[in-house]
Amino acid sequence: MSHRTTATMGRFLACLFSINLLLSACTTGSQYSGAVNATAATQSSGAVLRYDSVHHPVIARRGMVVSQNELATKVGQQILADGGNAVDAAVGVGFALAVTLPRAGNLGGSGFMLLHINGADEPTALDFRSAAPAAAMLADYQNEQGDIDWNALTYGPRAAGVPGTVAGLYHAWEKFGSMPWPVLLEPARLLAAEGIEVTQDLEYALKEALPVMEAFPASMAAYAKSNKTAYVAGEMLVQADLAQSIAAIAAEGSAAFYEGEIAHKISDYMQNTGGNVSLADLKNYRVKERTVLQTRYRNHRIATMPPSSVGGLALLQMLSVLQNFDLSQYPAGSAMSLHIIAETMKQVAANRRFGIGDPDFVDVPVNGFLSEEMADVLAGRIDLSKARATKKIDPENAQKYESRETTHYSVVDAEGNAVSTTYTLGYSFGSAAVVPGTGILLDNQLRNFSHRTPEHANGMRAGKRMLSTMTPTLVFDENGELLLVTGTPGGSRIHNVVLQILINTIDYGMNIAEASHRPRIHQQWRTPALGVEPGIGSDTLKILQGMGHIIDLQQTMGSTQSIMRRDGYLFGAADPRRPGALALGND
Amino acid sequence: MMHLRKGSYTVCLSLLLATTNTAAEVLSKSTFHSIIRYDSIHRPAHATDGMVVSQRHSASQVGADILRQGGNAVDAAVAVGFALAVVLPRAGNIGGGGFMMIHLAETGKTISIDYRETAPSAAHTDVYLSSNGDVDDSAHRQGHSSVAVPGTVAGLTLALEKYGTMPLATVMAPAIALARDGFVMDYDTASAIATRVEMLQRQAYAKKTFFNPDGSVIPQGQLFKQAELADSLSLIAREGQSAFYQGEIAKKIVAEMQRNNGLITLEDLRAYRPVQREPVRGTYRGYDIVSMPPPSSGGAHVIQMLNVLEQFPISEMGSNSADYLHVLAATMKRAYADRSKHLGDPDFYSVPISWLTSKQYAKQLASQIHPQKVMSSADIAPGEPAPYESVDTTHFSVMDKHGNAVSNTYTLNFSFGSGIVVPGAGFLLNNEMADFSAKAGVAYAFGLLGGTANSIEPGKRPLSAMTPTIVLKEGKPWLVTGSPGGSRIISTVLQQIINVIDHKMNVASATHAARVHHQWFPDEIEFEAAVNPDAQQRLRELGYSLKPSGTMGSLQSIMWHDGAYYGSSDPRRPGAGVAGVNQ
Repeated sequence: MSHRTTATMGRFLACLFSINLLLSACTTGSQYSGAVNATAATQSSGAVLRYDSVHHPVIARRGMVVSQNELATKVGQQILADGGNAVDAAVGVGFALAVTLPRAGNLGGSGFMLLHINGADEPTALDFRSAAPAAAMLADYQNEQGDIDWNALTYGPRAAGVPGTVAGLYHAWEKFGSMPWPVLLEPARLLAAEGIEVTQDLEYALKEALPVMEAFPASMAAYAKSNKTAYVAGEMLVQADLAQSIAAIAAEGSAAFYEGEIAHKISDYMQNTGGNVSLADLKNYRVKERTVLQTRYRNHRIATMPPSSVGGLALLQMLSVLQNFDLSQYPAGSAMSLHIIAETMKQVAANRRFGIGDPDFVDVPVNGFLSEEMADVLAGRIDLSKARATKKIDPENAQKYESRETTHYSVVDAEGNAVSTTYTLGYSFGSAAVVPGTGILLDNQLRNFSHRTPEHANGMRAGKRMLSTMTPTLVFDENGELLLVTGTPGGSRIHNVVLQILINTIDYGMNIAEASHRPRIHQQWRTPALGVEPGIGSDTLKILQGMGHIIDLQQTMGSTQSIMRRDGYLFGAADPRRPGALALGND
Repeated sequence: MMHLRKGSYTVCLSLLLATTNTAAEVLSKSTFHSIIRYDSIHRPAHATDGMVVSQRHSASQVGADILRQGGNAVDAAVAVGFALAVVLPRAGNIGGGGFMMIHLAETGKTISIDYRETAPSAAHTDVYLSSNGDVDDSAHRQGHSSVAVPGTVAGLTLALEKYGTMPLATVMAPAIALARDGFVMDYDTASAIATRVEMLQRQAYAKKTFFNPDGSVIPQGQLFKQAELADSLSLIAREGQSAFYQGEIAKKIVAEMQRNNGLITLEDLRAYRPVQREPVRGTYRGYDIVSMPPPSSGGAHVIQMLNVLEQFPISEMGSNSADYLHVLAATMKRAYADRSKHLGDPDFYSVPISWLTSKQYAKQLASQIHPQKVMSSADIAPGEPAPYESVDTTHFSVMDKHGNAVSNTYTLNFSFGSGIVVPGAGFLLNNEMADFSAKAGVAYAFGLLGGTANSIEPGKRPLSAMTPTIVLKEGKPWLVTGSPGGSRIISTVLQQIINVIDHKMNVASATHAARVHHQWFPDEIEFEAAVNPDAQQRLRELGYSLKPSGTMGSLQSIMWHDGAYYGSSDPRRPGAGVAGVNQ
């Protein structure tokens, strides 16, 4: 699938500032002659059951759910099978993940949801990001010397923002859901009440979390055995309090969480422990419908999340820069392809998005960031023959808006409605504090404000939402038809991971499973090294090093949960990088 | 995420390449612990008390259930073998043949059972030659004269009798239920049948077995029942292998042969015997490699190639680097050249196994491989290009909690074999006669050259590439593996062993890694699309001809490490699955 157009080529040529660049592009390009055709021939995205791709997506016609936990995926699949639409299934999956993937799935956290409703002109973007409690002041988290108390911003109830997840899921259902609300929550309630079998993955995650949870009795009661030891694989984890909370939310809607019994339990807990979230904070929490961010990339329309996520902005900026290069002339995974992608990541990361914060508090110059002029300037800084030097590591700025323990899920139904959701508790198991009597973990999102000064665009203010990198994304093809639903966890890597999924599918025509399995790279600005996953060949690394890249072999990046839609079929791919993820469809 | 990140490893690239140990060390740290940590893109399935990996998840479940009921690895393997005959009709079979490796924990012995098909007594080379002396492809590959005497039922029942613990009826019960009650037709099987309508409707009984009554393809999602196959399996379960070789089923086979100028007689069936053979053995960097001896060529050549590769610092070269792929391709060329010359049924031809698998011969071959120069295939030995590659065989691996292991590869040869279903018996017959070299020097079905060692003779077994393999570490099964893929089986299994031992990948990463193949003639490296493009470019510059290929093989592997079982089925063909046992 080639998306080269004369327009793209025109821009490509226009942006080449020197003959020098042009020459280097041509020489480097020509060495792959022969290879490119081979790649294109063997990677056509129609290669589903033919034996020309190593990895195959799950195929279905009438609906697909992909999440990081198989039990949650099954919940969504069943809702679709019972006649629910994509939004119904997304609500069911959202609640189920809070039970089955407690490190990231949540009721006490927050996130973003992008919805494509068949027939609508534009996707709907729901911002249910956590908000700062009214009483949270930077001074409360500083000692006398003015040092920031990162511990208080990381663990325990004082780290928690006002949760948005329940409101977000409820809002989506109120607007677009078709099945009764309690029906959608019942599978999650059952999983909590009857228990889930602890997997090896959950055992490991809980073992890591227990030392921190020890400070919080309700957390130990929820996630350790009665003798305070860790659950092992094969044992049943029953979450009775959580089941009660889900039952209450099922019966009373989100009011149960923001005004009712759960709200009182949260505010009581906060009062007893010096936390800041009050009854009023909860009552005042609102989901925000934002205007979706969109751009065109090689005849596709990419729709993603606007601030208070910065991930979408970064993603679209990178795509605008890449428009200036014809990536498909370099084979996927080749040094030249990776070089252009890495340099694009670097330039966009260096183009610091100053002045970005919660758009209800700060004017964000989105159009400026996404202007063609800006893209051309950044593209012009990319040298096709060598890596541009980056600044030295600045630990002060090692800020990551999200830990890697976020989670994404994607749903498409038979009518072509689609939901792309990324949500999180911040760290794995969030603040590690469970609100007594609720089974609900609180997040630690207050960390993600910029704490240097309250005046910072991302400074903490009452009711303000901290920045995020979460990047739930939808792609529409040249005819405006939904093509791809994707997203990932991964902290600062999120938008770079999503970018590579888009490149692999749009530029390289890979099927969605192949696109998800390919090794990934990650380049920042303040960290000079080019992060690579295992699996990138040493010949490529050698060429990259010859261009001046410093190679940093890293752990795996992201966990994309994606659905592609073509020719009447849905193709699902769960990322292999985290255990237990699953794509399931209905025929 | 609190303390998961173990730190990233900044590897200065000169280090990475000069002493790739740095990278290797990084990877080795992650090899076995990457099950839940985030160091590898792919992670194997994990179990504590046994594991079954096969091309069909439902068949793997059958095996795991047998293990849970207290059966040993052989009980489970026999159950899986019969189940795949139902749920993977293109390759799983009772009308074909294959090879089984069994490792017994109690004695530490590894046994191989050769249940490869044999040429009927009436089979002579002349049968397959046309009047002008050319090979008659249709007789050799299709129709009743392409069918060799099946070995699967004899092989599986022998394994169970000698090394199993359960009654035949118990281990066959799940297969019978799957045939009688049916299974939900999967997309993969439905499309495999849909693309072979002409072949599978040539014979009325095949049409009746694999299609709706109106002749339409059974779609994905519809229940697919095989009542006559269920009856045949029940008969075997009740009466043992004699039902197949002497009783009712034998008579049905022979009647079909007599009606259609087939060669197989009642006497051929009665005379069929599986053979226990001494496995072929080798060592590789401290591991013991135990694999299938002739009439499979696989084991001997895997060991031969490992011996050659042992002479090179593979781990330092790096996974799928041009340096490594050059040495690998050069090694494959030499082994495949030897294969065409030396291998055949050992009961008919003296195969120089100990010479082929000797370290001394390997050193001689290794010394011919220049790090920067490519020797053309014709300079190694004269040969001819090869036209064809079939992929439809199937492998399964089983380990039980006692440490017993079974590695089994079996086949109908082509996908759905000869396309002939035995009337009233509901199962497909093989076309294994195509695996003989019908005429010395003429490329035979799998695109390889075969000399007289593999010529047709009554009672002889055709040469095979099937390579069920067990790698032992300190005398215990460490890796159980095997693959379909025709002539690519050998190179696929080889790369799996290299990936886990040299490149220190976990068994899932090893299985997912892109593969290459060189079979001497044609003189080119076939490569899967995901092979690093910069390595491809370097190989071209070195003088190789490269050819993009469809995917190769379908490994079904189990690794045992530190008291646990790690399994990976191959992503290349849909429907495969790992079933673990945790008690």
